[in-house]
Amino acid sequence: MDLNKSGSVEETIFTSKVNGIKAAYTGDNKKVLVSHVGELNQDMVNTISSIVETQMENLGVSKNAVKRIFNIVIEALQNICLHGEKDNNGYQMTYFIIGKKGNEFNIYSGNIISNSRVDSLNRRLNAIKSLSDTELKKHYMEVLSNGELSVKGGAGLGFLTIQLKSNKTMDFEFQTLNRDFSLFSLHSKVEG
Amino acid sequence: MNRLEILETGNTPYILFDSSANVFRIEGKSFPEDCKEFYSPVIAWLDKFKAVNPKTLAVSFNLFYLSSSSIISVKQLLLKLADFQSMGTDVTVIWNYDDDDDDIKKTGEDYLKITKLKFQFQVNP
Repeated sequence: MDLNKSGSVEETIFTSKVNGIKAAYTGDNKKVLVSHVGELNQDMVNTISSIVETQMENLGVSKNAVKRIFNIVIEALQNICLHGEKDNNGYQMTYFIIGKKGNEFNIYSGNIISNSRVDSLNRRLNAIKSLSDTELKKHYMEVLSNGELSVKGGAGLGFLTIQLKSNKTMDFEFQTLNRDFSLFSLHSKVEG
Repeated sequence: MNRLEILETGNTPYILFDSSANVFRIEGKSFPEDCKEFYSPVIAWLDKFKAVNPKTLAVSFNLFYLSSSSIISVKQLLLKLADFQSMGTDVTVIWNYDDDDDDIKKTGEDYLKITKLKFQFQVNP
């Protein structure tokens, strides 16, 4: 599957998603602060997170909110690096956008995943979303106590961290691209 | 074998383990792409250091950001220190944090609960 084929179904879905997000941040008191589309590697993670941190500080966002935003940004970006799939040409289609609406920072990320992974990820994220504050913290402690690094290097704490730091506003969506792949999108909010 | 020094990078902490100078510290931020790759040599060094059978071991942490995977890796590092404690070494974890950094303070408290090591909490000046 070549996601870069102009006008392909996959590219259309991907581009519509990205444009739809950006369109929500035009107008009064709204702004797209950061936008990255395409391949993502660790060097870019470092660069993007550094830019985000500086931007937040320049906007006078509270230290507490900057930390939360930085936390979510790193988890979202590293999630893409670890789990984002590549097409047949070794090209990894991802997006990362931060939109500001008044004092609210909206962090969006997306990556391709195999359709075979959609069900289990969907269940896992729904389970996390159903947890109350107390249950969430308890589950976090359990994973921390028992957690090991997986073969891929993840620890299973990433989504829990995002849910915690975003004050339980983590939202997600799967869009089928074709027989093999779907677009996995994540969105969370932090009050500045 | 007496000394391990890893310079800090854009996403990994500064680490100095010097048994001659009796300095053991980890400082900065931690969000490497591959936590196993970064922390394995550090944990392996500690494993070899067991042969020295030190009487005391005080390790100072001053981390201001830990990615979720790093939190697991640091836990594994602390559990390695707990091995020393079982061997009879008097182990102290000095957990430094900024005054307004509840997250890092709380992470230290979580580690204390999990590892049962002796923790000294210190606010950065």
